[in-house]
Amino acid sequence: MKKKRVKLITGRTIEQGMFIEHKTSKEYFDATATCFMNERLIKELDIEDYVKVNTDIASIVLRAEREKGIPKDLIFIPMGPWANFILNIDIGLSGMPSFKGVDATIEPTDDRPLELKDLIGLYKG
Amino acid sequence: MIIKNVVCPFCGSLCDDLTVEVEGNEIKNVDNTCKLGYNKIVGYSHGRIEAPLIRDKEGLKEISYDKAIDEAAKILCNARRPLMYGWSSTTCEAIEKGIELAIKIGSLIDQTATVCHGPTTLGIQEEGKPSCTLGEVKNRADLVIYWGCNPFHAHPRHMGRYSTFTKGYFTNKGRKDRKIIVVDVRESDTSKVADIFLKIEPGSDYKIINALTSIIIGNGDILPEEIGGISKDRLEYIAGEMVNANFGIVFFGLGVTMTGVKDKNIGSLSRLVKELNRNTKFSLMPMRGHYNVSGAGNVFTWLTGFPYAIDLSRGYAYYNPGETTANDVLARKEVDAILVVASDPVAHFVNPSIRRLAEIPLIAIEPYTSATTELADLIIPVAISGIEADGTAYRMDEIPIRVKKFIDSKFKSDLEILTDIINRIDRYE
Repeated sequence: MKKKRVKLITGRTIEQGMFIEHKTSKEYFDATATCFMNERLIKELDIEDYVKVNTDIASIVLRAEREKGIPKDLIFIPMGPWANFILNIDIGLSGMPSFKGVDATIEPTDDRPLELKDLIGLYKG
Repeated sequence: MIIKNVVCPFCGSLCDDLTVEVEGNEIKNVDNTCKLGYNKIVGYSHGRIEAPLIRDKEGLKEISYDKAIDEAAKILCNARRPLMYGWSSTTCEAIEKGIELAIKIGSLIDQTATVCHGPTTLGIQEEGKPSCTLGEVKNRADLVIYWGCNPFHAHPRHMGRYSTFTKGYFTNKGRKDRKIIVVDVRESDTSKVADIFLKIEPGSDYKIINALTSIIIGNGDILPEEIGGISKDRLEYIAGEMVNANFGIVFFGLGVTMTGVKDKNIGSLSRLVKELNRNTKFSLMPMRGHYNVSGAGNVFTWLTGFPYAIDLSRGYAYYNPGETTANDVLARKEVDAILVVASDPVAHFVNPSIRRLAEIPLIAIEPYTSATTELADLIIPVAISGIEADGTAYRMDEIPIRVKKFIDSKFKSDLEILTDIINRIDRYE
């Protein structure tokens, strides 16, 4: 299986904001359980519809989406429960976890993203 | 009924020119709003929690409001190290009451800046914040820099109302009177409308800010030919644009606060703006996310001396971000109960902190089903501030604005619920 090291950044998108008060909606799921990547990166790794993103703390499966303006060595995940599942405490001295510029690896997968309820269920174990 | 000049309770732009159409006690339409405000206001009734809920082995079950207040008081009184978190999407009056409760029970209290502009606070505590109002930007700014932010998505009317496309007293040609520079690690909808786009390497903000400062103070000769993916020539050109502006403004977002050296990025931005003020007029302003996150920082500071991450367990206010910040105290497993007001930390905290949230009693005062209510042990539904409850909120430039109530709710407001919890604790004491 092909793997690639990338920098992960998370942040707001208008769709994520539009449905932020409706976290269990399909629209919020579509807006946030998604990984935006450069088209060349998708081709290089033979990613079809879904991508697995791994960090030092956890892995998550997301829908892969092409974005033209993003550099090839960068991936963008809208802020929310899916992005934050793979983020570690890494606060330095400021009390602020690193939500941007995080080291990650990505790989193709046939798995599907978890629904919100199932994702939150992982914290209970 | 048509209600004019309604204030939008979504983002820190706090647009105050919305027109809302209300029929009976239902919102039928909203004009003059962006997609974010429209969805929040028109969708106010969608997915509401209809009654107080408590979790037992079989799941969530309905309880009376009185019983819910009783349970909340018990959880908070029995906790040895409680944390009260959220506050950025409610009114200043409710936040003030929250501080009163935190003092009463000797709690840690933190607000959403802790995962947002917390480093901004630290940076400006070290270096100061040469700033202005959004009205001054509208009327005067001929150079607008958006650094590490994407207002097209996070503050959709910001460029139209305050900074870019709007016409002001000294900027009466609107967009033609202004130069727009965007600094980011990727192209965005905002960068597409910029005159100059600096696509920098991730984490290189600190180097680039300090390089610009060096050029402006006349030490550019010591710089290498390329910094953070940008050539020295281009940085010299940008520095020239800054110095020659009549009125410049740097709006910055989480692309600066969350990367690299975080708070030090903000300190260096402040130093850059201070140096520019030796030559011209320049200002600095954080792009605040939630509509009253700025108010939360202000109210916390009036009442405790500190804007976030405050430990009130010692009988006096103790503040040490990195130690008393919400993610730290959770990841260290110090906290043994949490009250969440007007926020969704399970959606926006990081993995180790959420694991702790899953282990401890969690009270959520929340109108909607959210990631936090999925883990909550006690849920108290609430009226939505800025729609069903009025009060004060602070815009991103720290101008207080009264948010309106324009429909009635069967639920109590954050302020009333917090008051009831305090009164119940008083009864036990």
